[in-house]
Amino acid sequence: MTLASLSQVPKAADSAPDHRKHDPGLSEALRLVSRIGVLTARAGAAAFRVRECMRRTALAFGAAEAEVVVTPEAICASVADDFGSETLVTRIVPGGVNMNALCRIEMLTREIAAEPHRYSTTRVIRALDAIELAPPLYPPWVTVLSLGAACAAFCGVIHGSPWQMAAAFVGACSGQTLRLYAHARQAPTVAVVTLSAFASCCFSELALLVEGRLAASLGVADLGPDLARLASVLYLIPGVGLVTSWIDIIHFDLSAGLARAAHASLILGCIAAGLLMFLQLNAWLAP
Amino acid sequence: MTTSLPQVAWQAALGLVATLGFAIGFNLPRGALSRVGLVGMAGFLVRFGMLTLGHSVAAASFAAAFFMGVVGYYGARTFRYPRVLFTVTGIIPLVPGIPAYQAILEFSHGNLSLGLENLVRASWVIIALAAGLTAARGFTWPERILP
Repeated sequence: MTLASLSQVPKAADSAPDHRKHDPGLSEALRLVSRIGVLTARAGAAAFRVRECMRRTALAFGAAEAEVVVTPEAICASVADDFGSETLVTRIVPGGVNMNALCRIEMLTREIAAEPHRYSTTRVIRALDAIELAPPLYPPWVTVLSLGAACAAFCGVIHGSPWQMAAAFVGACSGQTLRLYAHARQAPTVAVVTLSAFASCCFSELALLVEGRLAASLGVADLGPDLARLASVLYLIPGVGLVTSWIDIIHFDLSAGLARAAHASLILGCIAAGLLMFLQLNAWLAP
Repeated sequence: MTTSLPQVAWQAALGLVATLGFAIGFNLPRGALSRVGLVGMAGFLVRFGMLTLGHSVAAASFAAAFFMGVVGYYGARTFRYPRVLFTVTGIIPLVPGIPAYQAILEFSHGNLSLGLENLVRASWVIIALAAGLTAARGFTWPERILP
């Protein structure tokens, strides 16, 4: 049994000529398949999707059997052919949801499965490098504004007034900006979510104060029910984690599903902590 | 409960904005944005319609997730994108963030029973969403996206 970390998985394309284009050998195939699994899992895929991508690639590379166990922390893959079997455990470095990477990996594995003779080891490694190193498709300010707009839309869904929607937009944009800034500096997730929730609450409340004065000058007495604070933290709710945890459990990937559910609960707890900090501050500042 | 056309149009617009907002946040490919936005909006309207007809939130969420799973399957076949783009991105706006938030709020205020009530409500909806997607997957099995 071979143990390897992510850093040991090949990343750069080999310059040496590839003499076994159709059959890269069990060890090499296993490393490629494990890397595909790691990238798929990091992009936010459910365990069954990671397993499908890995299995179809392993079988296309000539493995007679492929077995994969996926947990949120690591992937254990085992492949076998007529001459023996090999197992590799690869640790997953956590990452955010990345639909572009997920889309490209799924298409790549489907193409490999459909036409394996077209894909040499070198070509697959190059394709995986391109996926892993691809920059985000949208600049940070677009992400900030779009998530702010989504939170404002949620505020409208729960019958928030346009004033409340505007405050939710300001709060969500401020929190997301802080979240991007902290992520870029590799701050721990727990601290990032807590502080982002706190910032969103504070800025949505500030926006409501400003709007209150503006509304008073326009002769509007009421800004509607207080929903802005609620909607401004909704971008932090781990929707993908919550849904994929149940999808994993339904597919009987219990360890992956329960671990994802635990992580999603931790994120919810962090939002609660940020909210509590805001409520304490609000109570302290209130006359 | 009666619903006017402007109300439906307003809900559709909100569903579209929410889906596109999260789609951009999840780094969705540009070419898929409009299609995924439309699928998300349609799912949002399915849930809104069922709620208007008096069904429970869990039943409405199951129907919306099932709808998006089936539409996502045909969308994936037609536009050559993986189904996950349509399904997971589309259902994120249906995730019960508000009950989850209210549960947090009640727990933080020490109202355990109200907090638990909201938590159970949120969990039911999340289970319904996951079950809807899984049922759609079983309904459209096997996947044949590429020829």
